[in-house]
Amino acid sequence: MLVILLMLVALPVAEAQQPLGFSHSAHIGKARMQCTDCHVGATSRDQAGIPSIRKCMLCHQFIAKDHPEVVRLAEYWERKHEVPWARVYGFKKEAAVQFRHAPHARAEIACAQCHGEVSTMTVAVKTVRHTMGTCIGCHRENKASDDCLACHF
Amino acid sequence: MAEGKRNPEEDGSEHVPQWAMAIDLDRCTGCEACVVACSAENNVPTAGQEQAAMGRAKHWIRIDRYYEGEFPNIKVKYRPVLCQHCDNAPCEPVCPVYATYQNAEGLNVQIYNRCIGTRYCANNCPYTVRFFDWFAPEWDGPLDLQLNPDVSIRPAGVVEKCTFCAHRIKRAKLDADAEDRDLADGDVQPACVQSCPAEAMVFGDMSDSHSKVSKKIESGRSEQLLSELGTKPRVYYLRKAD
Repeated sequence: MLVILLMLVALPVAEAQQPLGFSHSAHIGKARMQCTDCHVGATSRDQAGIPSIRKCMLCHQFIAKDHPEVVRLAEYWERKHEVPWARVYGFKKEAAVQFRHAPHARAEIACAQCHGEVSTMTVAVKTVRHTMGTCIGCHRENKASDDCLACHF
Repeated sequence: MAEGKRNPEEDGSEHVPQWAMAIDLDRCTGCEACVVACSAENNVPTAGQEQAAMGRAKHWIRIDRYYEGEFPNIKVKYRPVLCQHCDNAPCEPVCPVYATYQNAEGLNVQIYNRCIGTRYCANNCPYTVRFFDWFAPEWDGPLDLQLNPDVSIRPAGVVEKCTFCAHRIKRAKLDADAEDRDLADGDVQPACVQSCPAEAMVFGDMSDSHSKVSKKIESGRSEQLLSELGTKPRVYYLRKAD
């Protein structure tokens, strides 16, 4: 019994397993890139988007070609495959939530507010819980709509 | 939201549109383009022959037919019936979990993940425009690839109904916001209004006296369906007085 309990406690929180060890801190922290350089939809569209391998290779055809993770990236490129990135954040279908990035960016909500300090992370992990309380709290604080229909339709 | 823009009210607060629809029955040909457009826009699944025979077909908008006279001198009249978004909605007070309510813009809202499926609302609706999802929706391929991502797929066990294309209202507002302008009359078009070849349907803000829908409502031809019930519908039907 005790062993089972210990095992349960020790079990890590299920995190998205990424096919490549992409380091956010190396790109944002060290290389001084912006989140929107790759997640281009974050300020103008509904979805922030995950960049295509073409975007990665724009730089990595020339930069850090010998890095083991970049070598693996290049293998995907050679095979003409996209990298099957795993989604880190997102609402469950049952939540019936319609989220749009653009209006939040216009309201100058920092990416880190909902996504945590990704700039200091290597592989992005989920650090902020997206519960209805998280959303409503911020909406009320910023005098945004707290009508159910603002998100659920 | 930027300050100083948008036609503010006298007290400086933001203008809250009051959505309404006017349907010109003299123009309606009963073609049912609105019915098809609505189902496609709002991911409304077909029930299938067997379920439809049990009265479980879902149509957020339907065309009611009225026959006048005897064959062969028959005259058919059509009336598109959708959720009337009543100001005094019979569906709202019977919901034990407040899954349905009227919001500030006059929309009768149904929140799917709050709904527990008592079906009291559907039973209390005099227009019979609320539908219970008996099963999880299914679409035969490749129809599952054409679903509208802006509209949630309703699971089994909840009630669904016309939203006045709330997602289109939202989209129009966000577009106006991005372009830093006010919502103009005609910016919001529900799928049924957009698809009507006879232009029988008009949608807009009835608190704006210059809007097309206000003019239709004030035209002297308008009436409300089952107005004697006191439900104060937001859908107005226009026809020449008998």
